[in-house]
Amino acid sequence: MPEYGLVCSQLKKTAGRITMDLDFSVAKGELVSVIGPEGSGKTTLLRLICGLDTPDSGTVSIDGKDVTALPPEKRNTAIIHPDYAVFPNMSIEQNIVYPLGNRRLSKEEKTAEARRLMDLVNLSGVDKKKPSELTAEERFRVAFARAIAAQPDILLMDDTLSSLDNKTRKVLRNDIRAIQVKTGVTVIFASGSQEEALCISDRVVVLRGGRIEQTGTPEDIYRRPVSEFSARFTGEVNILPYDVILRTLRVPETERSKVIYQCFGPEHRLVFRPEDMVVNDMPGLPFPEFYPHLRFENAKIIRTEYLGKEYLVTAQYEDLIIKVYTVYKPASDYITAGIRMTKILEFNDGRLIRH
Amino acid sequence: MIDVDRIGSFNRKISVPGLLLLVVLILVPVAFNVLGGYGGFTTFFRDKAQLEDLGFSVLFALACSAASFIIAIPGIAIYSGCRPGVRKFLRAILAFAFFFPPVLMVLCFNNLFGRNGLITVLRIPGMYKAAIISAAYNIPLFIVMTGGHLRGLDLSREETARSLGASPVKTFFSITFPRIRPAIVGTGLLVFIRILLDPVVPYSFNDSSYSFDIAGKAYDLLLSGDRSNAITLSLVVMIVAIVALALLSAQERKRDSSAGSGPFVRRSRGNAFTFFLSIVYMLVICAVVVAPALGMIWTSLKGESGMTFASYKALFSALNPNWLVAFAFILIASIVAPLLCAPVSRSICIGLASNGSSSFLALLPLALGPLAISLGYSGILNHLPDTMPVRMTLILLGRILVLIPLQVMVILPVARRIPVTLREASASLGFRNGAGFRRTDARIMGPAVRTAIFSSAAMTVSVFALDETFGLNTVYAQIVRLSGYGDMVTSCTMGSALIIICYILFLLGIGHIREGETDA
Repeated sequence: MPEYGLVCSQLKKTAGRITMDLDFSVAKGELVSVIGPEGSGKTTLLRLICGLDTPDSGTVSIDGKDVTALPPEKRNTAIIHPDYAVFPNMSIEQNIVYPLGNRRLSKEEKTAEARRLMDLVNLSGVDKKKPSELTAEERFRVAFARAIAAQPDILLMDDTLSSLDNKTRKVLRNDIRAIQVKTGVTVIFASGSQEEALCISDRVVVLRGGRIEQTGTPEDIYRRPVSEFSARFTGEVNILPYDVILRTLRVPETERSKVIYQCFGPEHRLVFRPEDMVVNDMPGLPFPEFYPHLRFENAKIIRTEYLGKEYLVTAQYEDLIIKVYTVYKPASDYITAGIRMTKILEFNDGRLIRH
Repeated sequence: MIDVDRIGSFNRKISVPGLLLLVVLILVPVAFNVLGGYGGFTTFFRDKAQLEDLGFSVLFALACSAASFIIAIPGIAIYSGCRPGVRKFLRAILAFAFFFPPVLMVLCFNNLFGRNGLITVLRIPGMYKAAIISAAYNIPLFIVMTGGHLRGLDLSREETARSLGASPVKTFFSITFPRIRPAIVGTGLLVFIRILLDPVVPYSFNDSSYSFDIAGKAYDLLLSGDRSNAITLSLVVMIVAIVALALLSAQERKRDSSAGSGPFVRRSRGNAFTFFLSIVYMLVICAVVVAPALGMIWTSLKGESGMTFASYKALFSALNPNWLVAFAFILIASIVAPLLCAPVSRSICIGLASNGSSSFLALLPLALGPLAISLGYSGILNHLPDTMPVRMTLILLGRILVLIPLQVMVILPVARRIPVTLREASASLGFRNGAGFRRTDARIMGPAVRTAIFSSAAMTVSVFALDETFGLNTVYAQIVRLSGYGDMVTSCTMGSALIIICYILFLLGIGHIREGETDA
């Protein structure tokens, strides 16, 4: 049984068009990502946790202590806003030592602490500068160092990397993880990007319309999404109607009954990731045979997207649209792709029923 | 966040037509004032008593500004934190203080403090009466301007400070106050200029036969026919006001760049008692602003002749025809002057917003003050044939000069919020640079321009000094004379009619303001 740093119990809040209703917990020292589309309630959840908003009902407990009625400054949380909220009227050093104001430290001790934190977040030579002189990446590092200086029980990051370029995001997400591991601080990282969330988190929570859609390890979320929403939100996915199995199944006639169990009707879907598909993108080579599998022969290519290390090919097979990754650019307008039945998830009415 | 300072291909360093016209309009009265009053400068600065008067005037204006701000502090917090509907209502009430002509303000307060007033028993000395009125009538300016600025600041910095363990008090003094300080100082300087340049309030409530402030003394001298010394004094006051205006313009640069990306909801976490106190406070402030006007209307209705709405009509029909001509001129000027000003103000605002320059030049007429402007333009009469059309034209030019900064104060905040990207998008859609500017700006600034026209139309009737200097027998001049003769009923009737017209114009003006756009 993990020791919980944060427990949100039956938390309800109506804010604008979001109606939040969830139970949520985070173990101590864990980095949990909260992902979801815009309006799913990520920011509202973070604001409820740090006390900037009050819930309509339910409780928030930090380290076993009910903090629902406490103001933000009494909760020992720290939040980093999307714009980093670096105080413009203070130097970088003053920003970082701001949370130390509540402790009885001498000026030298504060300066030393600021230096230590700046080293921790890989920031140097900017201590006397003003925030307006810094790049967005540096401002993030200042906000991060300042939040760490407060020694919070929970560090909340609200879509903090969204305004940065892709390369900087990759660097910073690795830094966040490294510093989180080094300091042992509990982090809740809200993000609209599933890629970031999956690569740095111990656990991922998928939010939809103020409710938790799924929670689990990044691998669970990606490989075993519990709903079509989770599957779609966490990456490229093929979602096909169940009757496609009858048209595309490649399996000896004697084995067919072992594969086809039951057709649930029009809401029954087959879901699989494009990278799980096997594609015949080497002209002249025969398509690999394996049983049982679905095969989409001579699907007409309607779009090819170059992603650097591979291509994402969108093709039409009869009335179905499928997506596959290929290493080489397709040589013709047609492509043949297949997928093992073991890689397919089955959904009914939007929810996972078999994998 | 809107990038107002962005340097791009659309920057236009000079707004040629608007600023050029403004410079000409400013230079004319200043030149005539300098020519007419320069001789008295050396005498003024050698006269210790006059220097003391100047110092006293500055101190008086500073003290009144400070008192206004201190009283306005709770109002700033309440105004920035209340719901949009309540804020709109408060703005409509507090707006009284902006357009209210000093002459009418004096008349209204006469009902409270004057010979015929309600509070004569208190026997407050004249200077203190003037100080109380000057302070009271500038409280709404602090509430709306500073409260509006506070509301426009995004909350993330304060929220971060709270989450980092700072108490609300520490958060206010370390984060919020430094961010609103430029707005406080800026509004304070504006209030200071208003009080320093206003001769009417000190003049009207002075117990002795001589005014105690420099602007009032200049007015005394003008009435006694010593025009040269009046110009010298108005020039001295003008120099002090220009210094204050320069400081005010410097504050613009210090404004937090995140200002204006709101509106953000500042919610009060107070309890029922603080909510009750807030209501009481705002009721008192609204009463201070509105009650004198209502008192004046009441005086006109309950007068000895038993005034009723029907008798209003009878009164106006029985008035001297010259008064009706004067009334008609005021009304025509109220429509023509703002309409003539609007394209100029708009052009100036677009220029200032495009290149992020200081608004010092555009606001300079504020520092000149109506008295200096009036004296300057009336000086031209010595070189032109003194005919009624010439007088009317000069009065109109003077009004335009007085109104331009008022319109700029309404339009400029909106113009500064137009993102460069909108103009760029407009140009990329096939409009040439100039056309892109005009079309985009016209669509976005349209409501602000309409607000400016209506608001300044309400304000233009208050340029009493201009009409008085030209010896024009306007309705205000009549009101002052009637009031001086003790005929409070007739003067209050005339004043009430003007207040109602002004307020309707002002309500039409603020009706165009969209939430989060401007509190100027």
